[in-house]
Amino acid sequence: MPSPLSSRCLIILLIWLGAQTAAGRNSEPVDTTTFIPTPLVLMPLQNLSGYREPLQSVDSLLQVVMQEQGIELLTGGELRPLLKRNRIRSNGRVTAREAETIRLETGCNYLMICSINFYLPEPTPEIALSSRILQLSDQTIVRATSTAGSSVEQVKPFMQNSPYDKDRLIELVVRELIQELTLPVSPVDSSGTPYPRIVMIPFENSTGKGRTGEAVDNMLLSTLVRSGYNVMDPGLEHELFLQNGFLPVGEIDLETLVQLHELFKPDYLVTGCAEALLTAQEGSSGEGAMFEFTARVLEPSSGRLLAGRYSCRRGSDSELILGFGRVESTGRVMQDALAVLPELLDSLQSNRVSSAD
Amino acid sequence: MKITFSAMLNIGLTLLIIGCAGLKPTVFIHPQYNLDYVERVAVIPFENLTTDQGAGARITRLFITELLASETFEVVEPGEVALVMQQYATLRTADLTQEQIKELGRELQVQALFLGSVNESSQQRSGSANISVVTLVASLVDTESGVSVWSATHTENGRSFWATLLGTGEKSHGAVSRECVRRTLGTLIQ
Repeated sequence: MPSPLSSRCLIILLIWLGAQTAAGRNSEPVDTTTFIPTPLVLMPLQNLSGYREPLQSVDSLLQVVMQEQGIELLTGGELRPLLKRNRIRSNGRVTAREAETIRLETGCNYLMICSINFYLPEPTPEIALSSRILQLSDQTIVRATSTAGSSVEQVKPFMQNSPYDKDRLIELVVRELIQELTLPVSPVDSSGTPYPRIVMIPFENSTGKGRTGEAVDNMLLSTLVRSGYNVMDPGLEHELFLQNGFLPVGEIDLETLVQLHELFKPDYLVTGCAEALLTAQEGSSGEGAMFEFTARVLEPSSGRLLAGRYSCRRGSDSELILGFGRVESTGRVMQDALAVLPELLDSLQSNRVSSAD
Repeated sequence: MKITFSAMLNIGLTLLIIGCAGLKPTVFIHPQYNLDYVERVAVIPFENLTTDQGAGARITRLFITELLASETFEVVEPGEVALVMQQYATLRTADLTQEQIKELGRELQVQALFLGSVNESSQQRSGSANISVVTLVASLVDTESGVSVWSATHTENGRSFWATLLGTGEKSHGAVSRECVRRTLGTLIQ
């Protein structure tokens, strides 16, 4: 015979569970558009992959998926005459003048720049994408993300499913990109201190593979932005370098560093080199893709080299046994390797704060 | 009989380990020089004496990264070194005179310069495996006197004990390069 108190508790519990179930059933889908500023100008895709094949499908899928999410877009057909008239090239960055022109002529304050960082065709297609949203009025990056996928990754162990074909994979990765873009970035430090401002000097490419350096720049930028860092838009620094008549890659001299510091007052400068990149097919059997890079962090105010980091990541690093957990996608391996840099910057920042205290 | 067998096994294993361990680095350290005096250094891009294109630059970057990770010296940004070195572009770093080393020291405001060369960076076929081999020669030169205060040579190969024993994958070329740099630098920085 249950006591009156326990039966009352049981009734309350049942009512609460019923309410939870009803709420779950009737719940509206999450409105993701609240996180993506709209209306948005979508710049023509930057293709670093060396293949023309994915360009069309990624471009049209991006538009479809974003329109599905209720995001107002200004794209290709409407944008091209404007870009042509103002001689704005879609090379993955915009200068301050170009940003202002786009803002004034379109009336939109946000610009989305996307790039195909890596692509492998059939039989084992792979793709890696990056995207960032700029606020045109002050050219700050408000959102950035990178995603990647491989058809082989879609094969679940002990299941009969076949690898995804190219189109299915591209759709999966594009949807993931837009999904991740809607996620808020890491919250600002609980103490209220703004995250450090970072300038990235384009990475050198020693891999012998096309435009890997630029792909690394895109991926690192989104990794840092997602970690809450205030990264300066590459378009702004590119403009400064063009004014000086040279483009530093992988290293910087003191004079340029001083100029950068005077103009943008960054807390840290990050640069480095993509040392080696092997796809799962090129690497040793069973090891998956491999990516290796070196990076350095400088203090622009003093010109001092603060830290250096070497990172090498293989697809098999996260493998538990018999292929379980192995990362097949080259783009994902690159992202995993680059994840060490926010950690390095975090430790530098905490050292700086503690020494200031 | 049992003792003889275990003794033979031990000797065999020891020989196998020694055989796979490779050579130790060859090192010179100036007996009178006080390294505590060196606070700021610059790494002059290493010469590439191999047919592996870009090996010099790659090993230089790894060397700088390891040097920074050791937190022993303040290191000059390679971009600044490249700018200053433009005036000596026609020279091999091995041909730098004492006067030029002193001049470089003044311009870069460093107490010592790391110089070096990559003498080997290749993949050698061994049975069914490709084994990476890297040889680095590095030295530290005092910019006040132009005298070499440390010098080391090391050859590293990708054949590991377990890989040889179990027939598993060999070390990548990058991993061998890094290990070579670490071991070379390890003779200066403990």
